[in-house]
Amino acid sequence: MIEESLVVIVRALISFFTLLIYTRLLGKQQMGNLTYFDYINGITIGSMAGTLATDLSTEAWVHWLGLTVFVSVVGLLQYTDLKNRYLSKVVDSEPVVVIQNGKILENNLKTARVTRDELFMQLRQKNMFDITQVQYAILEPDGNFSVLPKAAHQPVTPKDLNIPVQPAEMMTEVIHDGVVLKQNLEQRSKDMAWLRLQLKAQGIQDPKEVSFAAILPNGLLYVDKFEDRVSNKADISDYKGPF
Amino acid sequence: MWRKWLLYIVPTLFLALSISVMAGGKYLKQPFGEDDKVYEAIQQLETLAKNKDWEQARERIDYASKAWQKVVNRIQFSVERETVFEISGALARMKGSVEAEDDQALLVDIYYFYELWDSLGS
Repeated sequence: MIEESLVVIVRALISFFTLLIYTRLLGKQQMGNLTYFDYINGITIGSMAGTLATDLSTEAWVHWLGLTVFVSVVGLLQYTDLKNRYLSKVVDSEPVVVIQNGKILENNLKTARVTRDELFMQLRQKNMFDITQVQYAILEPDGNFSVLPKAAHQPVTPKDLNIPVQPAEMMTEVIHDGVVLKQNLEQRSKDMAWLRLQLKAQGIQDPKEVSFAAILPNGLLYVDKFEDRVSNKADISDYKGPF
Repeated sequence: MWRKWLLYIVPTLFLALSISVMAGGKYLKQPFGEDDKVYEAIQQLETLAKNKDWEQARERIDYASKAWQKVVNRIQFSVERETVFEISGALARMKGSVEAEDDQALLVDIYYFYELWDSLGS
């Protein structure tokens, strides 16, 4: 007779790795800016994958095929979105201006099926508590609101104050769990000799002692050792435990 | 370079293997040796039932039941659970009909089995 547990294990593995391959094929667009349509697609694909794994009353093949067709169509739409701007707007809709110069555009709000309460909630979440300070509020295709405050209410920047600034850089990880990431070192025009010197300056003989190290934007080396040597460690627990 | 190839080869092989596991029922139900000829055994059982040769029929239905267990192990990942249960049930009823030497009931189940077998993995 059928070994149900074994069948579920095999089908679950097929479902899991198929989903992994397909989501990698679909790329980051799915997560990056999830439109309402993408959101529904994600739910449907997940539901199909779940059924494929555990519904033994039907053949795995038909669910897998449905999943594959669905992912293919989503991929095809992504491709047409890239190639044809008009089609992209038909599928994903386009941004809608809902506030202009402090005035609510009721017709646009109604078209987007957004209530005033929802609009005010979104404004508050963007730290806009006074509608008269809003130059533009735009409802994006992914359902988020983009808010541009009026010029007088925008935060001041170093440029406004003519303050000289360092060029913006990224933090680059160079040691991960005791392993030196040589490629990252080269990216920041550094070598092993420089790294050893920096570690020695912080009393570290071997990179294996280091849990995490990174070159900061200002060129200095940040080091976090496995041995933290933190006295009076903060304890935010309410009870002794164990939990 | 080989890493890039692996990046494409491993998922492709995995998908190909998955497809063969899921869609292979139609081929995996066919006999691979001497002890898994289920369909052939039931065809022989049909002839034996029509000739009322119950001694040989007992031997054939026992063989078919054992052969079916072997085939189930191969096809369980690619067929509907209910179809497997139905075939197992049909074989059990055939066994009962052979014991009762009831050729009419046996033939009904044999033809029901043929129908189930055709839909298995298709």
